[in-house]
Amino acid sequence: MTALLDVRGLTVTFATRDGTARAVDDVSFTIAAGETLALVGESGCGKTVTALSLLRLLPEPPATVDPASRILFAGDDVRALPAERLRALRGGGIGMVFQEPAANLNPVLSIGAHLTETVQAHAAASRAAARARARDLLVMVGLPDPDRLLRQYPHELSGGMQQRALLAMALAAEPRLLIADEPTTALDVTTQAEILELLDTLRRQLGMAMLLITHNLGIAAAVADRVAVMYGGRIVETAPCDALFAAPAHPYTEGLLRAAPRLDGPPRPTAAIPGSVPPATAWPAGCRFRPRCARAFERCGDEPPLLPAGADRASRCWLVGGPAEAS
Amino acid sequence: MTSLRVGAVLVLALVVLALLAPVLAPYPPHLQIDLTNLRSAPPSFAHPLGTDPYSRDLLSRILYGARVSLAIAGLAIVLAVILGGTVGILAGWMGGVTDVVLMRTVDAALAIPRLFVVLVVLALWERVTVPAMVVILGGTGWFGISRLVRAEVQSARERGWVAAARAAGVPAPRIVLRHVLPNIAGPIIVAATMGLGQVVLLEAGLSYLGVGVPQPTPSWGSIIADGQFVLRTAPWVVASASLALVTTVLAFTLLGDGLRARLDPRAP
Repeated sequence: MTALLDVRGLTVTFATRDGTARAVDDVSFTIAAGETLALVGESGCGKTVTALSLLRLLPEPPATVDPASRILFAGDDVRALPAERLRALRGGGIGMVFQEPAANLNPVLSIGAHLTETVQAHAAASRAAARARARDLLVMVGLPDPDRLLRQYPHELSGGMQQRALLAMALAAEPRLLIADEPTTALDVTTQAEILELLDTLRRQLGMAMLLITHNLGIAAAVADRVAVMYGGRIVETAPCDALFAAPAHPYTEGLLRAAPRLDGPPRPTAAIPGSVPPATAWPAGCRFRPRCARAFERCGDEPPLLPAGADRASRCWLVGGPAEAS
Repeated sequence: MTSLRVGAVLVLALVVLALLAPVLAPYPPHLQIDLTNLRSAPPSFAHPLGTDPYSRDLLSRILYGARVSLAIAGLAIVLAVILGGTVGILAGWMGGVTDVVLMRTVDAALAIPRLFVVLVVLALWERVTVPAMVVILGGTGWFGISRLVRAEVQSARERGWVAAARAAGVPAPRIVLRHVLPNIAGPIIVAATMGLGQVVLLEAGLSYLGVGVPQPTPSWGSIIADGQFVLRTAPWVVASASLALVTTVLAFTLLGDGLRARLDPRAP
């Protein structure tokens, strides 16, 4: 089966005062129909830039997407889509929800206005039909009293309700892929769990694929089929979800897992990864994780490619396959 | 808030007086009542503000002059907001080459003194009509507004809901109309209100110079011009028109200031 989304060699640079920042560097991944891929990494690793470039939402300039980058969605080259088809793709083929729901709703428009606007952007619907559809969407995302909600304004809703409304907007045209960029980060913990469950249920119900962007491994573990770990603008490890959590192949993934407390095993001290992410204008030569890696050795002066590390997984580390060599 | 109230009351009063001029004015504004005995007459019961050197009732001329001045200024500002708004939205929303071309053109236009341009263009007409005046004043008055609108659009387009609407596939013209314009309306309204006073003043200046809407149509500028040669013997001619002018400019400035305090939370 061919992939629904096929990203190859995505490279995004930003011209900054301190030089060129390679925010996303040669990132490749695929998402099959109905699959959930979690893109995991620290702040500044290029997750959001990757997500935005999929829908060509990055302002260019200052961003520059390398012309060799290929983004194929359902066989269409997203980079080369004419304006009208790109607009139809946004929301139509690929829906997107962001973090900070409060910032993403226009305070002067009612929830109903937001939703009908999106419905009408993708279907020639009359006002009444669009409003009826908006109502159904609110029901679908589990919001009570939809008729009243249509007339309400964003400030009258809680954060969780706002995010549900935005999810309804993103799903208005039944996209085949939903990009969720830190959809629960700005919410409190119980609401986070609800939204996450809702995302997963709706994904199943609508047969969507999902690209979930998060810095929270727990969230990735809960809903993802596969996980791609990003560091320094690059994917450093990709693996099926269970395999990754059972046995991380990259020292960075290992470090992330060790930094998170575990509830399902004997208690052990959590350990932070020493140091911090270097600025995107000055990635270290060789392996980008080398300065922070406890297991670095001479060979890490050359950057490793993504090396196969077992069934359907790969790791950007020289230790793969030959850890004995390292010692 | 006080300046908002005072400004609003004054502007409202001016507009009402202008609209009711045909009812309130005791004489037709062009009527030369008695050229032999009633030239530059002082204020009296029959002529509350006196008469001008051509024996016309001054109150009637000031009232009708308000119509001309306010109509020209109001329509010119509407035109300036439409032109400046369109250019500013295009430049701010599109960015890139469009932005550079439009804004450098505006910079170049701003470098030429407005009065000079207006005088040159006015020279094309033998008798300037009110619509022509509107086009000239509006057509030369939108540059500042376009820069303001561009800056506001640039900041409004970075808002989360604009990104969310784009990601949802809402067409760009609709995003501009529904998500950008309402959020930048405040500063535009303030600038337009402030601009009204300036246009009233400019129109009066042109009429004073004799290149505005021609006599006998009353305009505050031409009333001042009529009165300047009798300034020592009949100061009420110049004084009444000047007072009307000062009040109008003050009213719009106060209203604009008050609106700014009300509409723009960043204002001091």
